[in-house]
Amino acid sequence: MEQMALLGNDTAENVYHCIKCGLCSAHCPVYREIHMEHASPRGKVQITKKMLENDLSLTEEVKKTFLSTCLLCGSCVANCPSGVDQVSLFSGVRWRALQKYGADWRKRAMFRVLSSRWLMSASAAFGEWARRNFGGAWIESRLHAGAISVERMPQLNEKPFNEMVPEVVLSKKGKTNARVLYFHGCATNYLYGDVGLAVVDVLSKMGVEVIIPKDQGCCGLPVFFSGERKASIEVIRETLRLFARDDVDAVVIDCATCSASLKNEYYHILKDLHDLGEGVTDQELKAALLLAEKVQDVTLFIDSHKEWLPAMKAAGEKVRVTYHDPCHLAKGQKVVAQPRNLLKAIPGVEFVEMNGAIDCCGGGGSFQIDYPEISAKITKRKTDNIEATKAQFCATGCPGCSLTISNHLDPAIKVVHTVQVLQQALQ
Amino acid sequence: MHKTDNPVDIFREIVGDAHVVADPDKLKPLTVDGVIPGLMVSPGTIAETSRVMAAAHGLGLAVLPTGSGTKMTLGGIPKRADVLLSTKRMNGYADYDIANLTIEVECGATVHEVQAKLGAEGEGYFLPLDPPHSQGATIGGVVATNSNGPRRLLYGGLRDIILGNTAVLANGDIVHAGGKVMKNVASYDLTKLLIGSLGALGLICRTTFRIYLKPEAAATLFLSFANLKEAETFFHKVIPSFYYPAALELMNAQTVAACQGTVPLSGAYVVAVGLEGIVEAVERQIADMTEMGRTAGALGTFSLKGDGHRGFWVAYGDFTDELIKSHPDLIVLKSNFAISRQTQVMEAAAQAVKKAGGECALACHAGSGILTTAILTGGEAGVKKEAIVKLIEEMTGEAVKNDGNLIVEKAPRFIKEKVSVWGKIGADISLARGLKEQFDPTGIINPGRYVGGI
Amino acid sequence: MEKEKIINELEKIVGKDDVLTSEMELQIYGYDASLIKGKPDFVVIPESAAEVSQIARFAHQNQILLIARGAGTSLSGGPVPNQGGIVMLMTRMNRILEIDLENQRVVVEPGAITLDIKTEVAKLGYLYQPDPASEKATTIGGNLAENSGGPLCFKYGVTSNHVLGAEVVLADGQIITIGGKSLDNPGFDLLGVITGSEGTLAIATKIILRIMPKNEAVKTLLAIFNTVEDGANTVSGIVKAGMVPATLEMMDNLAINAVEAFYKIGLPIDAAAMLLIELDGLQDGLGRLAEHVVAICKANNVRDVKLAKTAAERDQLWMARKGAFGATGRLRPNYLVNDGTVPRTKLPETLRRVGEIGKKYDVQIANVFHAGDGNLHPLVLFDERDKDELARVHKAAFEIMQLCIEMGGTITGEHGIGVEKLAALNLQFCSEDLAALANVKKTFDPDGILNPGKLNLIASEACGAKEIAYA
Repeated sequence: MEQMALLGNDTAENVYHCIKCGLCSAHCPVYREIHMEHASPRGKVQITKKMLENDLSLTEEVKKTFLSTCLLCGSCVANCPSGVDQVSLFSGVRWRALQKYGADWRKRAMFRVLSSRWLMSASAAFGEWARRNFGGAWIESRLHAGAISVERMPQLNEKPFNEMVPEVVLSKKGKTNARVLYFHGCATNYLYGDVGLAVVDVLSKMGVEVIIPKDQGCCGLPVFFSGERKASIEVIRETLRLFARDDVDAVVIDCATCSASLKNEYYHILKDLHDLGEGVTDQELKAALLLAEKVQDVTLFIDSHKEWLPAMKAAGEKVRVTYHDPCHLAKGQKVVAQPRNLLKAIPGVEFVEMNGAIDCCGGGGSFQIDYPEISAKITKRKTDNIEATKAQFCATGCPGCSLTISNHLDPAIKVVHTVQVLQQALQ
Repeated sequence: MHKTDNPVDIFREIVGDAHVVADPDKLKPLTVDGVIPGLMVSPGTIAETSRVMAAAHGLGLAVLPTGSGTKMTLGGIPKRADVLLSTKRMNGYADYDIANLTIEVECGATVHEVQAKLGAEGEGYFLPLDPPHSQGATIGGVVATNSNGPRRLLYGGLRDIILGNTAVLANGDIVHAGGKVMKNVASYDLTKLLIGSLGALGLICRTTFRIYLKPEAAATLFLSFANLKEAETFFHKVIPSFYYPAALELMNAQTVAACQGTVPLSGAYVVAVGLEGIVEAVERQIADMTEMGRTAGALGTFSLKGDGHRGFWVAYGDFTDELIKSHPDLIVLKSNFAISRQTQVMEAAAQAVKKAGGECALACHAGSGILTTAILTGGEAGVKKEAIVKLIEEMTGEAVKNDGNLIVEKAPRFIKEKVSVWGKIGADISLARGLKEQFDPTGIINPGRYVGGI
Repeated sequence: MEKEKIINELEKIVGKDDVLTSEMELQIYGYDASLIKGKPDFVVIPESAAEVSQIARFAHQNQILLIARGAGTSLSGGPVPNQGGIVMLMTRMNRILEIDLENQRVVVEPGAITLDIKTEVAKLGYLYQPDPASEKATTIGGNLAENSGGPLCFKYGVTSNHVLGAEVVLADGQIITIGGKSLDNPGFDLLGVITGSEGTLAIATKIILRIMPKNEAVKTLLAIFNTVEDGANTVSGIVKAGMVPATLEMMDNLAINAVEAFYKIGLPIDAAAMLLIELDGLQDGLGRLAEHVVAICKANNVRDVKLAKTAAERDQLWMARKGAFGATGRLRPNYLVNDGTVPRTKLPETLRRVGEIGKKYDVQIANVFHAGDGNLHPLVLFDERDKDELARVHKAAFEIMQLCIEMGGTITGEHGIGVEKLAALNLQFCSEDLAALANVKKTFDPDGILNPGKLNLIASEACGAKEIAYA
């Protein structure tokens, strides 16, 4: 490993912008619970720097630190005045750690599944069958995956969302205002089909033609954030093939993690691999840039074209709705105002801002499974804040957040996607 | 080195014949707790002070610094008083930087003359310092005794307005602490350590203060109350509010009487609210606080501006001086405590003195948690000697119970011999002794007069 | 005592999990936000005053160096263990113990984050005034150790003016209480000397702070100037008019550019200087004062001056100021921040000569400073990997300190001497001064156990200070 460069040139150079001011620790949800330097972004940046300078080697302890005390939520990146890109640095270290120490066999299996569309469908179908036949309240109430209670997990879609809709959904208005590609991601496909239906419904009512490529698969983020960079190249290439197109107005995405992945991470990962001689072409880099330019979170897209929305009826009694900012949307893409604009514009909604709306939900993908204690503490801060608003609904823009929050929140409060609230209003 | 071994001659050589007093008759009136000083020396500059101190150090003579002597009764009985070092001749300015709003003034200048000079400067400036004993108090004395006045409520106490101190240590070393800038963290904050140290670590010769342009407007609002409960209600409205009065004082009838007719109201208790600032803010505070006072149950309210307002604060600062004229054996105590306990501590003081068979004049900085109790002794209204000691102990206990302490600012020697004039001694006394050992190992400055007999 | 035995003893005090000894952990407790580097031999994490006391006693008995650490945001090497020893991490002792509104005090543990304290008392309508720029990350114990300042100091004073009591652990492990909730306690102002002592005299385990009711109204203005002179003259004008704004902060062109690149709030990147002014007090007359400020700005050729109309706008202006240091990381990877303070009237000349020093050593300098109290922060920019540039940076920094002394000021207004400015102590103090300062150290920590090599040359020499490890 010492022969391999730790990180690509650009990434490594970025380390030197850390002036150790320590302001990042104020925004790190893990540091907030642990109060130790290794749990802070600064600590990890300095560890990275010392490894680059050969003052430290990538020990098991280093690997554990990077995996267990970081959600890759990007709060630090959003608040670093010096422009350090901790997410890129840390995922790079995870990659090298994984190469050196290997991944857990369960993780490896999961990555295999995520990277293959066929395997995903098969697993989902199996999972659904297993739950129907062997599940049941008693068993499920005793099953926990880390901090996640299986009992409170959403049901799998009867069939993948992808199979519920045609490849092209035409505009429902007289004309076609725009053509978009819709990247729905795994969560919507297998767990939150209703969200997908809501996206398609709202967009088509706005006069937008929605193209949903049948062959699409995982965005790859869970794979490459855990360090599986090689496996992730295949996933990235597939996505580029289907989505890096010039002839559409946007690539809309309802999952914040997926959109951050396609918009922010693809180019960076490919560039690193390109610089390290792993066979990535300039062509592919260009495609990644094109894709990044086209990607828009669905609420950003809708808010930018809100004049296309049909009129919304005034409702009888208002419902109280609050909003949780997914890290990958608010910090990763600076989409903060747009979902709120949409919610506030709905006549039937009484919008209430929660304290710490922008704080991480504590999920962090597999983090909540592998490191339940710390994850649960972070999640509790979030659910306390939501419950304090006395809202009936908590809207958000990431199925990861939805899953984590709904798993711990007062069941009387429904967690929904912003687009679902819109869809209701348009009926 | 000196030509002779005779201290008088040594000092004469340093400061000049005219500034050494050795005549016992002339020194008798300058006793400190009954201890007659051997000599009085008056250096004219810090350099002379340094040489005087070094000489005293070499000869093993105890030095007692004095300004106007307004606070010489503070502290323990001196173990020795070989040289009374008068600072009166050092009354100039080492730095006078109006543009930067700082002055560095010598210790012998009186607060009064500094204020007069600043007041005449340009549009009128002032030192945010209003200690008692308006005419006599010297800068050095005020700093050495941490003598804060009512206006510390708005402007801060001495530790908040002093930017630097230059002191002469026991061995004659001249040490500069702080400077003339507000922000200064270069090494240990000796500036603060010297404030209130009664010279134990060194004689403060020069002090740099921040000064201000005189406020646009100033006034005093008086409110009279029949009892402390109502005064407390008023304080509960003012203290947590966004009004920032310059002073908030609570007086009992005896104190009012000692203010030489400058208080326009009478009552069991009178509150004086000092207001300073821009015109609109002062007017608003007068109006709003009058209303607050009324709802709290004030019997009467009255506001004063101009000379009337100024005259009151001078008389108030001097109230103990006024009482001493008729009660030479006046005992003055100063207790400090948690702010919200002001009326309880005041009530407890009144009760304790009453129980001891006497009367007292009470003046409380109600917003800062500091009470001055002047106990009238002698004559029919007087408290008996035996009762005084017990009274002081009781009041000390009351202050300590309320997270504070008590010091005896003035008392006859026979009382001082029996009480702890610096109140309850804490565990930090070991550090204090350690500092004294480092700075004044042979213990020549004010021996026995500071906390713990340092 | 051998390492293994020390680790065992420390584990007996705080538990196995709270003694860190791996290479990774030791390396990351060896830095702060300055360029000074070191490495501890052990890191311990106490959770109570009793544990702090036991650790100190153990260290004292075995003559092992002890360095307290908060968030490690010091800019002068304060918590850097550059002579090894035990680093004692105080961040877990972070509770706000009591908010006593009627006595206007808040009692906190030293690891509490300053902004968290401010936020909690703000919910009740009160303010803890000192606002160092690092407030969202820094600990109150660290503020006490350094006597931290911040923009609001011009009106409200520094940390030392707001610390009224503390429970501290001394070098030999003794726990004592100094001061309390009341003012003017008799005796030496030990609290005053401990505050700003950079962890070399005692370690606070509980702190009593002053809080005050919120002001009724606040007016925040931003003024843009075409020359630094005009900005500095405006500052003088405002002060001369008798106003005491809560804040008077200035930034020069380079700093404005760095801030705008990150915060993107529409600052004019061609302006020579920018002044952030805040007035607070009663509503009545505040508008008139603000207008007066505007008039003074105009009398000094201001290009533009605007008033923040909403709380959000005000927050934005402040955010830009507080992130200014870090934002310069976008211009060059590293900075060394000077902290000299000069009398206000000397600001224009000082800034001009700082510029000349920059040219002399061929280094870029951005200026962000507390114009009201004359506390400059020339940020000398560089890349640490360029050793030659680094050497020039240190020379420039030293000359800037000399300049501040020449102007009648001090070498450090709020960041402390730490290690960084030890060499400059002789610029500001004569031998008698240094001897008096050493007296203080000898009283509190004669063996030189607590944070050696910091703040005090004589004391550090007595401990056989090793060569400073710079970047």
